[in-house]
Amino acid sequence: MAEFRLPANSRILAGNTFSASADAERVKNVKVYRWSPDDGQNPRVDTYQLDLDDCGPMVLDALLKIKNEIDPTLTFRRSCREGICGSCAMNINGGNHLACTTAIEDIEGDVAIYPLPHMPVVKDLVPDLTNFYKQYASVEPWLKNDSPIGETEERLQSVEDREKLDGLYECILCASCSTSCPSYWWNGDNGYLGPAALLQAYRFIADSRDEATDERLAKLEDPFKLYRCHTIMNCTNTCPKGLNPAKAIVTIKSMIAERK
Amino acid sequence: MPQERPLSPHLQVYKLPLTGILSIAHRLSGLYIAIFGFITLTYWLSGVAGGAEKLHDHLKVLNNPFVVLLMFVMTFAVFYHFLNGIRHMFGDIGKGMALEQANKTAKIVLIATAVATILFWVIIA
Repeated sequence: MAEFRLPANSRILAGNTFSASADAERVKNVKVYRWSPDDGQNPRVDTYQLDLDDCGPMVLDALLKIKNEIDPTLTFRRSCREGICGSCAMNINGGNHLACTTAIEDIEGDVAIYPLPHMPVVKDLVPDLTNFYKQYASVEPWLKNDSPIGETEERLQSVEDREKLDGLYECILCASCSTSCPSYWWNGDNGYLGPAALLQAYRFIADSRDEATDERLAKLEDPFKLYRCHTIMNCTNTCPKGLNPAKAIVTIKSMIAERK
Repeated sequence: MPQERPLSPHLQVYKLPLTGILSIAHRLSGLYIAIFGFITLTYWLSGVAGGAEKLHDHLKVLNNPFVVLLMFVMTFAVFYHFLNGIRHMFGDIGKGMALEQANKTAKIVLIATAVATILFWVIIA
């Protein structure tokens, strides 16, 4: 059953404000969700006033500046800083984005940063993605092919068949889409696989080199795994790589319908 | 002993995109049609079944300006649910699923709903 309110231990309290130096000209308020497992307190939102003339252009730069210069305990994931690793996915001003590819200047007013929505928080902006990875593993994201092949041969694919994987293989598993999805919020723990895992399920269904299409479709035909998707399309709206999980899910549903 | 992990905020912070707003509105309009439609239809039929005098009383209630306003919302909900339902059925066969198309058809549904609702009330007025 969907629980619309946050549990008592998750309600957000007012936090601290860290002012910018008096001579700063372009000041931006950056509000950041903070929670530590060690102090027995509820989450809070701290406000950091940053001087944009002394800060890199992206939201990730702002977080790094806070961590380096104001509060070294601020905790978040980051790695590549160029939108390919998917580590720094977080909720920025109401949408899920990669902090490294979101420009501070594109945000009007204050910047508000929260962890990916409806996830257990490990610390600050770090969500626990254990269930997300389990769901990904459950779609068996590898090529299944039992046809014999010579030792020096490759499994070839035509240019046209290869093109069918465009818009599927680019996924970086940042979890922005799944954690934007209200169905995933309410049923991610009840068996719904969510847009990211389903897009990857389709990536292997669509691959001409994979021979397990029928087995894969049969496994997905389940009221929770697949059919909790109601085409809300929050996933497609938020994907930082411009992919379309909602369309992949619709295609899986059609293939299951045609299979009978 | 570490604390139990909090749940990160969801509805509290997420800004629904246009397609998300249409989706929840589809559910809410369906709920409104089911509940309000069922009650008013039953009330009207019970008036019809109860004879001229009873029908007269019930119609009086149904013509109350507040109930007429709820009726107006009802017609909006019916047109919206109908038109967006068609949009969803196209989606089910894979049509209009690109983001730009989905946003465009969303706007078309909203405009068509407004036009149909106003036309309906102009015609029955």
